[in-house]
Amino acid sequence: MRLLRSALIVFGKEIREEARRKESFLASFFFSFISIVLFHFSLDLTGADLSREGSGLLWLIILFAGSLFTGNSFRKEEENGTFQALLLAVSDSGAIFLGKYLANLAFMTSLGFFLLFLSGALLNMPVWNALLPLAFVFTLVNAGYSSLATMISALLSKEKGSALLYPLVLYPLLVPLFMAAAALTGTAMASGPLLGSPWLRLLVLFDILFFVACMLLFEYAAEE
Amino acid sequence: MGAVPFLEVREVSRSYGRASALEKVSFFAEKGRNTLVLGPNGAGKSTLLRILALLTRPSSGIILWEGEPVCAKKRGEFRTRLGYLSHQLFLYNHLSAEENLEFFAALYDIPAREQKIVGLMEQFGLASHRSKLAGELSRGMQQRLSLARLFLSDPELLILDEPFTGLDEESSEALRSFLLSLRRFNKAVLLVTHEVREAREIADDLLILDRGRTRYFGEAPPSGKIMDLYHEKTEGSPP
Repeated sequence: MRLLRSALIVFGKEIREEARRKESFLASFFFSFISIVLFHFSLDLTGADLSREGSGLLWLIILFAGSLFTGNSFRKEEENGTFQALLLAVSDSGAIFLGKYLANLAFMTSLGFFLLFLSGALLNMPVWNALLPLAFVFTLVNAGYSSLATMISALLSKEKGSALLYPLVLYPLLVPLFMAAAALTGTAMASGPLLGSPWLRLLVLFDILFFVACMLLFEYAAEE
Repeated sequence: MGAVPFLEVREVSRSYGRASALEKVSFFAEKGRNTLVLGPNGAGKSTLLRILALLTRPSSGIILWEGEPVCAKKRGEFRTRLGYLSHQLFLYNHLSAEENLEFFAALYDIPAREQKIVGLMEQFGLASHRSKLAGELSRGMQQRLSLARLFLSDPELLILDEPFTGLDEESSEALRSFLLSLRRFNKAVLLVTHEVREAREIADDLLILDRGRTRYFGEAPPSGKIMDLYHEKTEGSPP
């Protein structure tokens, strides 16, 4: 209970701080918007079946845009050494991970809906009739993405050149998650069945495995 | 000194790869006494303080709090009982002075925190800056805010790493008076500083490190003699 309480306090601080800093948030949304606009003008989408290729494009944008935000999760705590102050203030450092994870998840969810809306409006992707299954898939993918992205951000935050290292370490680890994400998003947009899909099982397994592992190992990642 | 020291460090070593930062350092600290840690650059002072703040694990050796070893399971619990201040400010630039204190007070789960925050802001001369963003405060004011944050949780052990760095004359004087006043609050204080001039009056005990080893630990000599002892133990290295 205390862990959850501390995590919610960290989450609240993240939201308040990000609302004032704006840099990561705006960079991600701007990148997403420009990407969709660019695809809108550069691709001939007449008669194309966007349920397959479209989902790949969508997740590619999310992969890059998401890391612009999540990479900064712990890097910003190095500016004034606040990560150390956080560690000293909580009896279970898992609360820091959980708070940051929730903030990243909230951001990824808002980014996902923003991109669904844009891709429906500008790329004519068949998203409007599949909003519920898409929301289900996005939630599962973002949960896995946020676990790993938060942990990698913590691990690399003290390293020199962490901004460059972050995508190099994170992207390969996310390959199975994004393969499942693209496949399930395509299925959802084509109104196919999601339940029973092996990709869905992979997604759930990935989410559970990485969330539990990150929570357990965070204490060791946090200390030198 | 009581039968069991408040904080005891037994043969603590720390190495990074092949390089050894600390080698079998042992000493103790008591409540109500200020321990000044001196040593030339690279002596291992900051590493030692980070180990004592439980932010870095030692390669070997143990730390005891009131006779109880700080084991892996209890590190988080012990951490909340200490206050650590380094040359970094531990403040969120995009939160106001008051929001910074509110955030940490909530994390520490401090009862009647509004009252405590108002009291600390007044004590540290921050009352008129409460709604200013921490990043917009002067370095001296930021240091005061850092000290106020440090005292939110009423820590039993205070670990101060170069707290005089970047302070103007007036803020240094305020900090020195404040550190002097800490004896009354029965805190154990460990202080690392290059500014020996600032610290010699407040030191009760002295720990001298050189190349990761303890060169001296004991009662601090009269303030004028500290540097003589220091030069004798470190072969004349600058602090």
